[in-house]
Amino acid sequence: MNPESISHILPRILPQVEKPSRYTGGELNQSIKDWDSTPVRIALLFPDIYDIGMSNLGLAVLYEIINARPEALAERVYLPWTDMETVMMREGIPLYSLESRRPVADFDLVGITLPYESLYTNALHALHLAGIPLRAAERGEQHPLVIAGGHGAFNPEPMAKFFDAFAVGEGEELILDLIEIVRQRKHSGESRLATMHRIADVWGMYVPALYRPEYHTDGTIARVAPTPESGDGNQGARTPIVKRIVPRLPPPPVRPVVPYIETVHNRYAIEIMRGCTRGCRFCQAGHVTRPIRERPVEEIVSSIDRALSNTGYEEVALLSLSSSDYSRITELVRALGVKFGGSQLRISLPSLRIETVSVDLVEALRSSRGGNFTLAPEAATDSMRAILNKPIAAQQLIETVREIYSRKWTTVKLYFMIGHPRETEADVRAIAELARAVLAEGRRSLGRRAEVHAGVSTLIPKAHTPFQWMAMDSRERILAKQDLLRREMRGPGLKLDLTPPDVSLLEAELARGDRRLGDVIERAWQAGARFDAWSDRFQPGAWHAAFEETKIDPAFYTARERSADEIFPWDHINVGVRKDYLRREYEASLEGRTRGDCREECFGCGILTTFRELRDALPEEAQFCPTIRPG
Amino acid sequence: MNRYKYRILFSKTEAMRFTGHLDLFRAWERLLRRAQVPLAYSTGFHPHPKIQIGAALPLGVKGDNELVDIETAEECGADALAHQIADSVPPGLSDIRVIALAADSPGLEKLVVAGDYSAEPLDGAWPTDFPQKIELLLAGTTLPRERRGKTYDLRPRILSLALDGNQLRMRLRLEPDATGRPDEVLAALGMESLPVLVRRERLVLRESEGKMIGSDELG
Repeated sequence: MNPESISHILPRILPQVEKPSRYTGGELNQSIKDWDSTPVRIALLFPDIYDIGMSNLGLAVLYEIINARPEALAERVYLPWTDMETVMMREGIPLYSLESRRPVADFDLVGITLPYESLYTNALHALHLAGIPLRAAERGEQHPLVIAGGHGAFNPEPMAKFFDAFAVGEGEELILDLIEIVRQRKHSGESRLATMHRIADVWGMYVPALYRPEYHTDGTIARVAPTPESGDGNQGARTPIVKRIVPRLPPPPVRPVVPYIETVHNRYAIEIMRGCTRGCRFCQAGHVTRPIRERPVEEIVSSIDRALSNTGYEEVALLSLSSSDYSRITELVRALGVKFGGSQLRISLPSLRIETVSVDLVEALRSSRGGNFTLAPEAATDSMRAILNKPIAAQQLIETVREIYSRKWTTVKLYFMIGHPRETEADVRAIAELARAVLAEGRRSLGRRAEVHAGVSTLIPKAHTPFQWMAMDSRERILAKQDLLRREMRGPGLKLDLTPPDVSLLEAELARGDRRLGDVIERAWQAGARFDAWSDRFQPGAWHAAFEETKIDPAFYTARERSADEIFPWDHINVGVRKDYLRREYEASLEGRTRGDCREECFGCGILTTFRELRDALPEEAQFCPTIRPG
Repeated sequence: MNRYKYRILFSKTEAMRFTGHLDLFRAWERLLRRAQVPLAYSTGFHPHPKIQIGAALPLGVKGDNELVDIETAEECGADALAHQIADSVPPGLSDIRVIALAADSPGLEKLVVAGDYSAEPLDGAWPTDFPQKIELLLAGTTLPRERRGKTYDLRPRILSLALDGNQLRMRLRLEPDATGRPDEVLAALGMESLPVLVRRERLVLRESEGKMIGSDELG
């Protein structure tokens, strides 16, 4: 099919589907470049529906960077919802891009983001709907290069069979290298294999076909090593793969596509800071996005100003892993108040530390009354928070909550996890007690209008974190803890939201898996698993059957406490944080020892040594990591 | 606080054809914010911009001479306002014209009584027995239909219905408790599975002393 025939059919079929605007494109600020005169054509694919994918900041960043290049174009692709998929199948319409309605298979490169594991089957489904062979090994010269990025790339092995390459780390500069390789390839007509070798030479790129995992008899990894023929001459491909970073944050997008229909986050989002210095031990993002880099206040304010005049958005979100740690946060909030006060702009500042000054910050940005205030204590006892390295004194939490309710926020949302190391029944019970104590504070200020919503998820020991050695709670243990919470958290004003154990366990299996898991993912997809992130679509049965048919035991990936020297499926991916540092952190955790903010003292995580040359080349005010003073 | 009212005429075209009523409201709000129009906001905990859209256009229907009323906190002037927003109009909206209103003039919900629609098959022509079907429909005094599980009588909501070449022209009532939908009329004529392009050409407004005026004749 060509764009003309797709455009001809669409008005005839769109009246039959729900939310047809998902499939039309044509929004404000979309970029349509001339196909024939632009040599490098990239499809940016989010493997879920438009409503979800349009809010992804990573793809919006790449979209603007690629389309600013004269030799390249980027168009957006999302999965159709099931009703549209049925109609597309009936009409023979392949997965197509929104801008020019080109079949995805016509692009030179298809970039698929994998920000979380429950999108893995959707990624396969997208390839299937695009008519591209699922397995990288089955693709020929005529097929696009299929490349994954996003946090899923930090353990690429479960999806390794399906991607020609993974972009590990930050994409702003890496994408320019890929554009150049594709441009040269089209000019020279070199083979796919030759291109893959050149991609493997790009900093941050991992080409899984050039590496082979070897296993011990007990199923653990012996090594993931380059194949003999993977490099030039006698040398194999590079190992390890060091993640890509940008030494300082490039300017943010200021002309994002504005959706016409409602999407999950329908607002202008700007990253104020990347990386985190806190070292919460469960947090993958806090470890894989190091080092810390801040965007200057002036650039944030002027970018928002430009973006608002390009979009008309009535809401802005200031994104980072820990807003309170942005060193000029008070100055930023003041500057935003001066610039945008009185313009009916809503500004959200998520991820604040639990302290009363956070309430002041949010209050200063507030444009309406009532509503929610979200806090993430993660655990309910001081001892558990020491294990997580997220120390917050119980008293401080209560004072913060008192301040929130007294300023007329009616609902406090609390995020917790269960399944921490050394967690006892008393620690779980403490979640309910804390929620009730918070509600009591609310009642004092607001009476019966006060509410507490507690979201309790299950800890998933993620790759590249100090908890990567630990065993995850079993299904039975999770269920027992959840039952306890349900019993303890009844009554008016209290709402409890629990993540179903099957959801958490699948996420853990996929996050911690090795290359053998590819067969399981493909079997599950064949059995109908997709939209696993949608609670009404998730099919645990399809996954159980897939594990059984492939004779792979899911508990192998989640239930074992791993030995100190076990080689992990992701060990050949170097995020800059050393494994021995993570191990020291794990041991400190089990002893209940905390570590401070690494802006004040360097704990030797490895980032500084990995990226020292980049750091030293920056002007002093832009240098990440503290200068280490001797002694 | 002073308030200034403006009535804006516009067309809703291809790129926004499949967006709903709330989406259109949001598109107008963002258009006016991009153009830095000094919108007036409601007071209260959750201030809303004073924007009122004439009558909801069904999904997939294009519209000409559609109406939106806005209130501003400063006097803008109709021509100046039209000029100010011209560069901020997104794909899917066009043909913007602005009329200044008296501050106490009644809202669109009190004025709009009907809409004039035209429908044309996307491919080819209507079936040959179509004129007879129309005649039969018009001859009836009632036309029971079911929508969202409720039975209602469509017939009194059809003010006129006639074939003009390949265009089916209909005037349908657009009152809060009695809205005639063009897709319902087409379904009643047995055309529910025929791909059709529907356009609302104008809104019909109540003028003084029972007179009616088309939105295309405003200003």
